[in-house]
Amino acid sequence: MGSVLAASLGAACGGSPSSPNPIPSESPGTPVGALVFYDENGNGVLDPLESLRLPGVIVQVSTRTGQTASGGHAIVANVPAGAQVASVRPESLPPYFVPGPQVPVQVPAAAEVPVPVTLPIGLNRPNVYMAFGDSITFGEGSNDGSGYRSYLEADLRSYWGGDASVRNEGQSATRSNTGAQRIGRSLDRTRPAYTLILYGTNDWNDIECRDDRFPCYTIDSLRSMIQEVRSIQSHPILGTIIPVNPIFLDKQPTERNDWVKRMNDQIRALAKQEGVAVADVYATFMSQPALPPLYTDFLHPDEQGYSLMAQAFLRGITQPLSATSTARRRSFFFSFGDR
Amino acid sequence: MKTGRLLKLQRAGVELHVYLYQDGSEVKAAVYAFGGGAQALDPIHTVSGSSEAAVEAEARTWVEARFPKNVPG
Repeated sequence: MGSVLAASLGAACGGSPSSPNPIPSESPGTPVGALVFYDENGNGVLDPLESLRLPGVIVQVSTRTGQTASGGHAIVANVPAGAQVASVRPESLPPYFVPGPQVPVQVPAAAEVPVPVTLPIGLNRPNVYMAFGDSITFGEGSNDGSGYRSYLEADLRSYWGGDASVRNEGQSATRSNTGAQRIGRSLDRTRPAYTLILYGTNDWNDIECRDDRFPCYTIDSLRSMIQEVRSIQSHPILGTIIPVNPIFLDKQPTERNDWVKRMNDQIRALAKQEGVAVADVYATFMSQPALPPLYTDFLHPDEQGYSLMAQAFLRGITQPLSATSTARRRSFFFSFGDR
Repeated sequence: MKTGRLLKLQRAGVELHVYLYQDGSEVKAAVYAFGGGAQALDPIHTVSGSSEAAVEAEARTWVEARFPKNVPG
């Protein structure tokens, strides 16, 4: 298959050495196919059970670059012949991934070049994601009780393959200070590669979080959770909290949503300080034409809302930290959401 | 009524939400429409009364008159 690829690439780009009409100007080089994969065991080799592929990553061979598409495949065009090395641009990787060793390539290459990237997770379990939060994480209001978790599993599998598992460590009616107290036990139980933290919604119910003591304990609690997650080499993804359903007129929705907005500003600032990836669930909700169709009650999303939450978490997990806009990889996200 | 209650009604091209809640001694219902270009957060109709059952019934009647379940044709 590799030689077929090389032959077809060469034919498509006119770079074959046997071409009857060689272009005499600057050496056009030949295309090199690359495959960026998650090297789970860090041995630098694509092993049969390593099934995750990374889209959106910039691959460099010599001075030439190409970007991986769905399935982790990239074509780097016009690579000069001879001994070269293939590598990935670190800034194009999803949060927390690091480049593997450079890969020697003899150009023209006979086959697609596997390029490894790694994710340092210590003794945690690859492809395991721990959803940690309150009743929204638990999935209250969703048809089968799985909330955003099953949507996210499907989205992750569609995005980079593999067998993602999103574990439920949501506990209804808890506030962020309770989360900070209980996260250690959840991490011990789950040993996740990623921890998806979504806390703050219920903090509103404490008067100290609404008066001049704002943001009360919320930000300190989230910071404590981030540090605990990192202490076991799991990777935190910090969610912004969702607005409430604005048509519940007797529950101060306007005042509360103003509070949510201010709290999310603090959450984003915390994430920046700590170098943590954000799942901007709030922004995703606010980008919809109307909020009420996303809810089953005052606080909890319905299926459409949970599907949107999953998309926000997918972006947080997969979009490079340096990216400031959700538009950069938007094309990868359009088809997701069916359970 | 202890807390507010949300009714979601699906009609052709539009999703109707009826929110029932207590306001002082009164029970109120606010009807909202989403989809079909109607995205504003102002209720398209309101009902008030002293009994939750009566207010809900009146709101449902209003909805059925303007957004019938089965449109002939």
